[in-house]
Amino acid sequence: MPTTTATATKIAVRDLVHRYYDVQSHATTLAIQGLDLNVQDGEFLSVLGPSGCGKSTLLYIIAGLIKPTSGQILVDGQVVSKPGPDRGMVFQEYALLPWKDVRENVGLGLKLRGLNQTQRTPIVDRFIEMVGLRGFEEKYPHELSGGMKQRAAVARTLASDPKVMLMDEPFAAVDAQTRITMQEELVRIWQETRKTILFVTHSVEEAAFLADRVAVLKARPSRVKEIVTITTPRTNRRQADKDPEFGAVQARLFDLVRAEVKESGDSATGSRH
Amino acid sequence: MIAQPARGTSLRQSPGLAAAADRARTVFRVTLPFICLLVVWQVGVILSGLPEYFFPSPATVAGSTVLLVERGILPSYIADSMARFALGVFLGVALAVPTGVAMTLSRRLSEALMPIVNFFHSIVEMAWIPLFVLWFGYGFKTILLSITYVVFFPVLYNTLLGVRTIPKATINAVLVLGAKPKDVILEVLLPGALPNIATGVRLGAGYAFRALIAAEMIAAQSGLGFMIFEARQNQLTHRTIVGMIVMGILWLAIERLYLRPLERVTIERWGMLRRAE
Amino acid sequence: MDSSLARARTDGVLSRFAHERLRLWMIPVSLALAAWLVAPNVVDVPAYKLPSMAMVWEEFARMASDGTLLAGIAGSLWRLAISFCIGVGLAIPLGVGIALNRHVAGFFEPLVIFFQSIAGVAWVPLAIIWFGFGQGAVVFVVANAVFFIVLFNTITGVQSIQPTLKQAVLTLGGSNWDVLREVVLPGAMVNILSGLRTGLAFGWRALVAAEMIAGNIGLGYMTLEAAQWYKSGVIVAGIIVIGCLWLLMDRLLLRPLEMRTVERWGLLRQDD
Ligand SMILES: Nc1ncnc2c1ncn2[C@@H]1O[C@H](COP(=O)(O)OP(=O)(O)O)[C@@H](O)[C@H]1O
Ligand SMILES: [Mg+2]
Repeated sequence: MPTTTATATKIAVRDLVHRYYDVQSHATTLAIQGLDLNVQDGEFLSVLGPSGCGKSTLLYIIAGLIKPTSGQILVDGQVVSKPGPDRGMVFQEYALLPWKDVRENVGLGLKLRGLNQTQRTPIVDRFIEMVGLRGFEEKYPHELSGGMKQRAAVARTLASDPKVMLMDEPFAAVDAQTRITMQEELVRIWQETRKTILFVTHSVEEAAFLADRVAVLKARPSRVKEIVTITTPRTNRRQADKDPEFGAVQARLFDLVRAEVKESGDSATGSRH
Repeated sequence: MIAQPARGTSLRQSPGLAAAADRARTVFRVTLPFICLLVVWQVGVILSGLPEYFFPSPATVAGSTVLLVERGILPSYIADSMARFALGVFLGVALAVPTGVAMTLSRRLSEALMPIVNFFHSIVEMAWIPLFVLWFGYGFKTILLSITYVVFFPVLYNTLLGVRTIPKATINAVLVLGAKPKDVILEVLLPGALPNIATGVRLGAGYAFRALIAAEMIAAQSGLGFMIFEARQNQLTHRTIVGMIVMGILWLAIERLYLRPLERVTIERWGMLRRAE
Repeated sequence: MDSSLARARTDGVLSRFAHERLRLWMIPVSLALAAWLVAPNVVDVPAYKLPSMAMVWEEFARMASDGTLLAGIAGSLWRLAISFCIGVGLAIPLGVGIALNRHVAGFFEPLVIFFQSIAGVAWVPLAIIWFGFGQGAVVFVVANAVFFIVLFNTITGVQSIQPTLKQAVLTLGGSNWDVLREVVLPGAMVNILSGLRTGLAFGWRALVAAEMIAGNIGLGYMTLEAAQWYKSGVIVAGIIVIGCLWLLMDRLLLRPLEMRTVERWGLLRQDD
């Protein structure tokens, strides 16, 4: 289901530059250089790029967790510089608090906002239901499988009702079967909640299945190389061979990424500045 | 992930220079806090106006150190203390490891002995000192026995733990090759338990070092523990502080240069994970 | 092993198991007691070196009835309790404060490591100079032992927390205060608890030592004093009481506390 009217810009990334300084080796790494990106309101945008190209860095900067060397992040036209509940984040490593059970983890954002137990419970239960964790409310993270942990993390972000969801390779660590299920559920949840989702991945299939648009990043130092719009309905996207148009889009994405992987391999040492 | 400002990278141009600069930075990082401490201490002495006997200044302590070294008192006391410590730890380990291995050979034996072991483990070595004094008088044997006692238990527990975590399959594999019980002990049980034993030695030595100091205060006529206690009686507080500083340095040296490397080597060589006490 | 576990499922077998265990350890315990009972008749050592069971019991009963034992126990435990509270009460806030900033932590780390290595009994002489013989000196030594161990563990605990956990709370709209309450304190808890345990073990030793050397009070002093008068019955009674007290503290206080958090949260203890 493509977005029909892509009008309001939700997130604008303006000429972003980020350089890391490594204390041990005294080397600096230029992770991002001159990255521009607009994410539309209600859009599902995937950021696709080879490992180590700076995708996480981009998300962390948008989340306000690290300060860019230069450049700006605008959310609804306002410059943001620190984390806020308007931008929820789902981390690759789940980042569930080990000392809280599923219900407490999912309700954490609400608790931080000052809601009491009785106000939290119905909301928490709704999102636990939505991600399919009914019956696991009392489990602690170490008692859950990887897929269940990630469901809980998604529910936690959803429950605090951010306008934007930043997702950093959330399904990279779960098994293939679970990943497919979770992708489908994410699409369903997105269609239900109509949030703006910025979804980082290094998998072409994942980006192509999920997104309205895919922003392919260049190898480090990264910036947007090309944005590919996907209009194929998501119901047809699992069979690339049956839908030639979607097949062509996916092939195009593969080519773009392959070129960048090669690039980053060739210049692995050279791109340290 | 913390934002880091970009910094000059001129140091990277020569690797030798960069390594030297790194080392210098580490030395600086470690010594700076101590320099600050000395300054605060000296300023504190001046501002508080307390008598030297009550609160000696770093300068006095430094002078006292020089004197103690020149007269040979400090080196000989260090030697005495370390000899007691080393012998005590050695005896403790030498008794604990065979006991531990023997106990694992029979489940019944270990179950039978465990309550007694636990009970004696609960009696801190300090509590024995009065009885040891009655048995052996004030002196070497009492100190040695306290140290041996305190090292024995952590090493024993960790030996038991180490042997128990060796997979049955490993033992069976050696038995199938025609190994005798003696071979199983020497080829499988001891090496397999070694990382744990090393952990036990490190823990035991930590308790033993304190036991040494306490026992020397009560029952010795030489050694660092004796020195810091004796100095107090003679109002030579600066000597007490010299002794404390030397103790700190000695323990850090023992732990960082011997015990931890020993533990690391045994763990790394066999690629085993450390199992906590 | 596996099959015996499977068999143990049924209650009857389980209790038979427990009985067998009991019988097993009754043997060496009774042997040890019997040896102690007959030893004075067999070996020729003076009674002041090896008190008979009767002598120990006699002293024990005397001290129990005239109140000295209870006073000794209560005094020692009380000093341990205050010292422990002082040490822990200072160490945890200070440790968290130091560990929150990487540079501050880096500055204090060498100092903490150094002071931890001489914490406790080495301070006895200074404690006597500063506080005189008795309560003050003992409390200072024990609190000092507890303080540096708990401080070190708190710092390690805070530093071992995954940064993403803090970031997760921030992206959910949490403040720095929320991060402290929801992530830093619980995240450091396992290390802090193991620090409390080690701290109590070292503190207890420091207490007995300090009471002997710097005290005129408590169980430690009671036993060393008895050695002056060759009253070995008192010493052995003291040894047994000191052993039992630690056994009780360990089983009733420390193990349940640590087991609960470690098991429920599924966290492994970070080795120092
Ligand atoms: N804290 C850091 N310090 C130094 N370099 C870093 C740090 N974090 C990431 N980098 C480097 O920045 C580059 C981009 O990292 P990241 O954004 O994590 O990539 P991605 O998420 O695309 O795999 C990588 O080369 C990585 O090594
Ligand atoms: Mg990443």
